[in-house]
Amino acid sequence: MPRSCSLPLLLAGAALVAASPALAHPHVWITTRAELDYGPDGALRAVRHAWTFDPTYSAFAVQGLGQSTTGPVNPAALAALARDNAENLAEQGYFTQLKVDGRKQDVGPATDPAMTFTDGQLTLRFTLPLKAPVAGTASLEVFDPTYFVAFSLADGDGFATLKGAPAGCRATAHRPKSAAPVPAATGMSEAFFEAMTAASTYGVQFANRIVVAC
Amino acid sequence: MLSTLSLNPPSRGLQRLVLAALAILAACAVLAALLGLLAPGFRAPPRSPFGIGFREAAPTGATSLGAWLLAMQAGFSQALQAAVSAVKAGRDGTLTLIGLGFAYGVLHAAGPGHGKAVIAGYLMAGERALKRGFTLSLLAALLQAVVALALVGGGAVLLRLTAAGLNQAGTVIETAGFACVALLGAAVTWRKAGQLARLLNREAGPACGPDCGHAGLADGTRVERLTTLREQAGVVLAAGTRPCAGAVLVLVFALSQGILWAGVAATLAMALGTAITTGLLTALAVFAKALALRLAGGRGQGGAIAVGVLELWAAAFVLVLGAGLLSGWAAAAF
Ligand SMILES: [Zn+2]
Repeated sequence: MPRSCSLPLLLAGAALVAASPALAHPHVWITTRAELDYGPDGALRAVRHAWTFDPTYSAFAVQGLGQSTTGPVNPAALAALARDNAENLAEQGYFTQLKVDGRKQDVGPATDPAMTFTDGQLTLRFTLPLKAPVAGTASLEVFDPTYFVAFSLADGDGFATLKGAPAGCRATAHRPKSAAPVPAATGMSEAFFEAMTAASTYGVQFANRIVVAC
Repeated sequence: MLSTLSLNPPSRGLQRLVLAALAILAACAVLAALLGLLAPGFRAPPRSPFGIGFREAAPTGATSLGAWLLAMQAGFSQALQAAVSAVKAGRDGTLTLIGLGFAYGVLHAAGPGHGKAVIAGYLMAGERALKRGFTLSLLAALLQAVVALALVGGGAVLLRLTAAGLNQAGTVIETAGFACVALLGAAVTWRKAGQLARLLNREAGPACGPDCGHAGLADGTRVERLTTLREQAGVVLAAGTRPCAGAVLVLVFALSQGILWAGVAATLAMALGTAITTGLLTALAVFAKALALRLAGGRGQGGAIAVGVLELWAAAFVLVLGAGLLSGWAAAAF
């Protein structure tokens, strides 16, 4: 039956249509702020995340944690939620990828989880200690490879703060599709350009990266 | 293969079983290829710690289209939030909210989930009426809305469940929906295997048209119609049990603002939008089926067998899809 050969093609076409493109489908939006904590020896020793959830997901997450659906939220319940989240995030590697001088760093487990609910938005805070503190040009990325959660860096200079960092260290934000990265402080060191070119093979356009060059 | 089967005819039941097994194997192969294409690595996405009970997310190629869709989804989410807040503030945002819900349904339903594959597979397997496809799509979308309303109304308002409780309820509902898909696929596969077996055993019979399988049924058309009705109820259940995560979120947000009714309005508008997209996609399945029938038309027994094979394969596809979703294996792409 030579002419019925078009059937498999037809089938494949219909199946493809039925499957439809498996495209990104985020339901949670998070704005990230990071604090990079340096030791007196100038080595990066921890990253403290502050993730602010969008109002819709925030409403979902605090559902049932207050006296009424519109009332204030019980602080003890928020603390428990923060602990649960920090625990569950371990499985996903905290959606965090930290490199120093191009080498991937092991972090965690998370410490000091905390959660606040203000103006209808949840903020989750937790600290990721480095297994081995190290000095160098740090590159911090926060993303969800399944795009269920869409992460973005906080606007302006708020995306990162440096604590106890050696003088001359600068944090720079690399936002998706941004032609020119916005330096948090004026001046760009040579190390900054090195970090940029090293990462230029990275094609993911959703990448949100903080580069701290010293 | 067909001639071997008829040269040394095994029992009808065995033949039916073999046909069903072959179809399932073929469907597995195609689904595996699809997954390889859509989600290389075959990894089911892990449940997000910020999940809401339903796995709707899927990995994507990092393309500019993906970036655009991300931006659009973010825009929609914010616009829906703003519209709910506007309604709460007493500004007249109700129409905006309904319009946004509708548009969100249309666009968002093109993403994973929402029962498209199930309805399309079922239509390929048997029904080919356009009207039937649209009706099934609409009913499935409405059921999705009703389940979302029941989950939030019953779970959040009455039982005061926490997010974790809602997640658990969502997971249970999702699993039940996947089981429905697998059961529906199994039932249709078994029926179609029987039809094909009968067809193969009647090689010397009169040449018959595309509806041969239906017309030649020994069980009689009344039983056939009952089976079909039951199957269609199954299709609606299978495609509509899992609610849209977006609907659940907008409902909970409206509830937190003290205006649940606005969320209900948005959810119903969303269902209508979803029905349009899934309806259009199932129309493609109907069109493909009609084309297959036209190609097979006038070819007597050979054409009828080809159509029977196509129908059996499509039914097996629904079964394999349901099993894949249940096991988490196919969750990456659907
Ligand atoms: Zn959805």
